Amino acid sequence: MAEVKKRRRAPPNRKESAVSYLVLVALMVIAGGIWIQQADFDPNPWRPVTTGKDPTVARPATPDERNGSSLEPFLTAGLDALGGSETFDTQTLSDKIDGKADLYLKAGFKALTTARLRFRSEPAHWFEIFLFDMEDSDAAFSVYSQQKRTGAVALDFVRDGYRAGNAVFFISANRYVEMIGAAAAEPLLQAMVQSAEQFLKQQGVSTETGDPRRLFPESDLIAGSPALLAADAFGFDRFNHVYVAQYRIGADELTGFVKECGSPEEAAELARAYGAFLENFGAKLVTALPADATVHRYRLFESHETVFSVGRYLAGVHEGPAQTSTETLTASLRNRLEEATHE
Amino acid sequence: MNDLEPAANLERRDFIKCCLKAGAAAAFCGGLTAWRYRSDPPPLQVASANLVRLPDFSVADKRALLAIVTGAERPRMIETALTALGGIEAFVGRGDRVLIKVNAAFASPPLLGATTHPDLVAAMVRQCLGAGATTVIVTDNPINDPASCFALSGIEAAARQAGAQVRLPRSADFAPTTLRPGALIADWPLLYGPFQGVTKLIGMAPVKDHHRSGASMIMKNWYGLLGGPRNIFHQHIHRIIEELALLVKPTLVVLDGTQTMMRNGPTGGSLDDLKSTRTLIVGTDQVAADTVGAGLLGKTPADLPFIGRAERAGVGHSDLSVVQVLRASAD
Repeated sequence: MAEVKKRRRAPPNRKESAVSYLVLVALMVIAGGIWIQQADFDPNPWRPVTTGKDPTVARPATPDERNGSSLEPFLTAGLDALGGSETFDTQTLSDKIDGKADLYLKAGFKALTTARLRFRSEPAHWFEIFLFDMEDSDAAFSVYSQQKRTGAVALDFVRDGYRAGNAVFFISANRYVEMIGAAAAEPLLQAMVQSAEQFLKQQGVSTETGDPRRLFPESDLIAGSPALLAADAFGFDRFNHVYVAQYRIGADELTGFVKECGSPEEAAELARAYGAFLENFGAKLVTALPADATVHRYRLFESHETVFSVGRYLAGVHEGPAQTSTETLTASLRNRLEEATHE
Repeated sequence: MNDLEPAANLERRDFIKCCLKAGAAAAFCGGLTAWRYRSDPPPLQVASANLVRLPDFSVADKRALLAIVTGAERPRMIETALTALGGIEAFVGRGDRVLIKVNAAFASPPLLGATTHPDLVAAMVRQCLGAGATTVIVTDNPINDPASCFALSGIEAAARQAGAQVRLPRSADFAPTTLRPGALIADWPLLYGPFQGVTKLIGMAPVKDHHRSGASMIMKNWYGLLGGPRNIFHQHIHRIIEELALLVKPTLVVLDGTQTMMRNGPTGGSLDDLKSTRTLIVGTDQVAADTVGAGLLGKTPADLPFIGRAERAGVGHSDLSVVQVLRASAD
């Protein structure tokens, strides 16, 4: 037995080690292949679980959801329903909005209810209501902000809402609402605005969460530009739930971004991972300050990128056209986040 | 403890033998996989057997032709484009039965630019009937309720007034088709009924941004010929567009860039999503038409992988220098 024990304790020779390493490398190559392949996943129905409910299980909207999504509050005087309403779930959303379904599914979609209303006196003037039930107000803000039209006129009775030439868009709690007119006629648009206001009065505007957009400095901010990218921001698959905002500094337009992580360690690690991601795509690290004050600066072809962490916040500047404006926004963002960590 | 002894007594020589055997087995399996693995499917061919197949509707001596017309009034623009191409008679003759595949994917009004504009459909129907076509059929398989889509998009009324038949899809209209080998379209339901007796095919689509594929133009518009749960193909959107372009060989394609949906496609929803680009593209080369359309969206063929895939598959050309391009104004 003693001889056996001695033999078992003997270290592997070089050949054994080499074979072991070969096997490990082969396993890593296989794992890498699986990792790369799964990155191109179909979010319908394999959307990441973000709540206690399992959204990967396709199901029709429940009666409660349908009742909660009632479109009756939109019916103001002079409007009639044009046909019945329709409801779509995660499995059938693309039947209504085709390729745009991805945007909603990645953000956290629950159900869509649609209906058309028209003027009693002018049947050609009709509009369609799209009431998207999202998982939470962040999910609603994500789809709202990513589709926001430039040059729109803000609605004065809701924090997140605007009217465009033929349409009205707004958020109510965890709902994102689109009202699309069949004509660019002012009476029709006015009717849609009144209908939206009536709906909001009955439903109430969300006050359940603070506004994470407070994390962006106001100086040089392009009004209305803050948006929430639900997944794969800037093509980086670990950048989920990232707030972005556009800034104009002099003649330069650039993007600031902020992500709230679970801990300072997680924020710092993610900042390093994002830096590595940039370098994989050809970015050159320009400077890296000491680890306790990390602002990593990169040059990616003609643009400037920065990334840093302050407490549990990860932030930076994306596609800065010039070094000066990039540095200005980076410093401004950093100051704002340092204030936020002490609030 | 006795159970461990055989393993514990394993000699180094035996261990190496075992490793060599395992390695040989792994190499054999790996080699077999590498031998059988095909990174690119072989050239696609239309199946025979009992599956349906679409005929080749193209006109032999009219391939690689494109007319690009600028203007604002769609009926005038299409007339100008067809004149530049030698007249509608070069494509549609007396006695032809013409099918026009429109984009009626959504129950949305024409002003949103999400569907083929009814004025354009009506103008094309009149052109075909004027050239002597006995029948013009307008069809699509929308993802929304077909009756609502054709009615609210204005296509149904415009087509009927111009003298066309509007064919809404029925379940009996679908029959399985296959591209093989290695194709996504395998034993998949195709909107085949409206093609019975048809001798010419015209595809008409607007230029749109598309959240999944980057753009929805002529080749993407053939998606509407598929039945079944076709949204599963969104996972391989560029490949399915390539296959559709291989499946369908039209007589003529009309790509409407009079107004282009620059963002929030394919549904849009706001006039702010549209840009006046004043361009109508009419021709016989689907790839070339989509290449010009990509430019209206501010994109290049490299931004839209389905264009390169279709070109490599032999559908058409993204290099416009090898296409006969005719330019005209309808102002």
